[in-house]
Amino acid sequence: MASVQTSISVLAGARKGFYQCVDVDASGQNAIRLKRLGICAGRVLELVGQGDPMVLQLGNSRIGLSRQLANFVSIAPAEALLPGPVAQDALCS
Amino acid sequence: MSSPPQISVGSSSDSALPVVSRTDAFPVVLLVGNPNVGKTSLFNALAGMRAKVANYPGITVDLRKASLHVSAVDADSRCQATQTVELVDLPGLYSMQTASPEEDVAARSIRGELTGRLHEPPNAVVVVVDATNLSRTLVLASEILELNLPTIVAVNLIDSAEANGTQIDFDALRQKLDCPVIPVSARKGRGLAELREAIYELTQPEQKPLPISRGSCVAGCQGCPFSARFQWADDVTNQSVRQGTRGQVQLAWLDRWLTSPALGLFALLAVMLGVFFLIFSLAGLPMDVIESVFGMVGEWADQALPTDNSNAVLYYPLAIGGTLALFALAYWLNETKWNKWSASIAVAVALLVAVLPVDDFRSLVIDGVIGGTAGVVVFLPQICILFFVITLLEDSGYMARGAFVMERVMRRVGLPGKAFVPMLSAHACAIPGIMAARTIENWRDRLVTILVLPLLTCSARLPVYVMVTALLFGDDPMRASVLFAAAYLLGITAALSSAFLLKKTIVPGEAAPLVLELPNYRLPSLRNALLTTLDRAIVFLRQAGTIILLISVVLWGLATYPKMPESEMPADEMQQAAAQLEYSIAGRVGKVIEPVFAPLGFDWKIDVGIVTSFAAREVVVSTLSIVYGLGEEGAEDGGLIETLRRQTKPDGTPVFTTATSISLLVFFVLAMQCLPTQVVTKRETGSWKWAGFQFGFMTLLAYGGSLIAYQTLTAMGY
Ligand SMILES: Nc1nc2c(ncn2[C@@H]2O[C@H](COP(=O)(O)OP(=O)(O)OP(=O)(O)O)[C@@H](O)[C@H]2O)c(=O)[nH]1
Ligand SMILES: [Mg+2]
Repeated sequence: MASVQTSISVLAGARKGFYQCVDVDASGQNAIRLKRLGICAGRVLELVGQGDPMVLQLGNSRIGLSRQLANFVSIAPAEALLPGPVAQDALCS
Repeated sequence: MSSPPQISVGSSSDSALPVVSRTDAFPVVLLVGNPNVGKTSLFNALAGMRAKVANYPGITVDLRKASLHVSAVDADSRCQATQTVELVDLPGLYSMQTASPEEDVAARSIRGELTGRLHEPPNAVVVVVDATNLSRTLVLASEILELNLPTIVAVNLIDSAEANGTQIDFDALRQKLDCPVIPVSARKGRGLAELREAIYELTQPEQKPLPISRGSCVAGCQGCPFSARFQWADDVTNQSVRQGTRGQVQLAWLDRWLTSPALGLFALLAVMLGVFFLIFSLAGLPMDVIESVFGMVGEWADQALPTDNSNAVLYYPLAIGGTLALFALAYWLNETKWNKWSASIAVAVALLVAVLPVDDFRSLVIDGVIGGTAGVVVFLPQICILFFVITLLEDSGYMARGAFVMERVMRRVGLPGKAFVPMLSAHACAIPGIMAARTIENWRDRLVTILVLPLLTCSARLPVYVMVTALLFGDDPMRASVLFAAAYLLGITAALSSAFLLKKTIVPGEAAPLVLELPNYRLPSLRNALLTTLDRAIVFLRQAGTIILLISVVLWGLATYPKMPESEMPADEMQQAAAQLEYSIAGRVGKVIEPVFAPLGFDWKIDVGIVTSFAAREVVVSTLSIVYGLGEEGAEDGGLIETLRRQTKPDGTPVFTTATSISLLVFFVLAMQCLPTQVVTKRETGSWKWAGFQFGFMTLLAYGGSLIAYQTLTAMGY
């Protein structure tokens, strides 16, 4: 869906900084475990600690995330996508 | 691979159950919320010490429930209307889309899909949210609100939100959420009266609320529904909260350290060593006290119990009444109901006890009941200290960091990082460790953790470690402590390598990768830690008072009967007990299995110890003391060690060579000798299959380990 965007990358390889989550490609339990903690399309997240597992900051909560799961998460730099097509799509009016 | 224990809902066996209608019972109020928002604290604050852990039918999860009196706030307290409700503390859940068996229980309770009292939706729901993290915790609230149940939102941790300088506009929040919103602090006891009143209002039978229909935040939204909920929660929060930042930033540097790969592991190691140091340095005194109290009780019983039953009027009522009283106590502890069966068992045993020869009756009371209980209760201080410290650590938010840094290490053997907390608990006792494994969401990971936990050194192994180290290096504390540490390390290594082997064989697959919330650091609450410790102590004593008491009595019977004829008794009193033991069932079994254990360097007397410690490993020390002709008391003073050193085989060489001693130690590190643990494994995995498997693989491991140790050491000439 967002394939036209060139700046989209995978969270597993990202550096510290703010990103917007574009897509979560996990399935089953892994998808639920990620999304219910707020790692889902349209949300902004900050990578605060690199490594495996890595540390994310989502709003007020801190989340430890293994690299394996971070591979499912595609991201774009936060500024580039606000307000972008994906963000619009995922948000409710 | 098997599936998790089934929580039966709507199965055929269910429909056979009588469905109790709740109309005539108290209204049910559920405490719902994300993990770690303070549901249990709020539950304790509301219910005080009246809380009771209940096991709802068909569920393997303990739901805590309590009867709670709620009332309308009225100036005149005499005509105040009151209402009793049943308050239930549910396991935390992030979403109604669940990812663990416990979350599933919570979600089903909310939907009223369980059997028994929770077979219909609750009369009211209290959604607990975290004032310091409203946007995150409101996400679940949005899902609950859409269920259109009578709902109250309790905004907990208001004290720490205020300490941060966060300001919340509750009127705006009420309007947005369209339900009562009450600021509370479970820790400081604030807002409890208002919460009670709100519960009262919602559970009034005459006030049947109109069908509630709240708008859905995901209605008409095509994107990810989670994302929509998060967005909604963000919007609500933005419109009602002015976030403070006081007291938040200072700990960022600490977190950077504690979650960094190298320093984090180092810190974890330091914390664990600190915990063990506390256990060993603080538990000694209370353990001595408990031992001497039981010693005094034993002596008192020795004096007080009649030595002959000629006075039948006094003796029989005493024996029967005493036994019945003990049964009453055990049933009460175990929450067994008096019915036809349980009463007949109690009466039958009481009559049997009454017709025992007087000497046997005395020995049953002193050795079986008092001695058996003492052997277990003595571990209570260590367990209490461990849980106190663990609860403080959990409260502070550190444990999640521990799981975080352990993730990389544990993954290699197919365990999740979260297994680290149960593994720490298991160093006091496997049972609470297995229960702590419930925090592991994934069923496969939880199963592997449960299976390997009993390999870790629990406190019941310590008497054996103490005995063997004293036997080998009694005069060399340095080498003794190295051996001691080696035994611990062997347990840890065995647990990790077993997990690895399980991953490669019968429980294949990788551990579910980590995604874990790292909660904000909080100052731990002493009260909470004390309450949890008390809870654990009660659970433990309940075990000791029932299952372990039963085991001790059965063992006593096996080691006492059949009686040796008077004519065959040796003259020497010291030898009599040993001769009798040899004659008993336990002794005969020891002789029969001697060839099996001979390759490990054990003689039949040690085998008797192995047999009697099958159900509770700590029994081996007192058994050895009996087999080697010391009587019960011998175990206490240093007599046992000296006696063991003097033992010789028929050919004159000592029995307890270095090789035999080490082999015995290895066996006790690795063997599954704890019936209560097996019972808990069965309960938590839902089948005896896994308990049996656990027993089998640990026994094989123990046998193999001891065999290697003994054969290698003898070959090396020790
Ligand atoms: N400052 C403060 N801390 C609180 C308050 N209520 C709870 N806590 C702390 O919050 C932490 C979590 O409390 P619990 O009661 O165990 O939370 P829970 O919701 O039952 O958690 P789970 O059972 O894991 O779902 C503990 O460290 C409590 O001491 C409060 O009102 N103020
Ligand atoms: Mg709780």
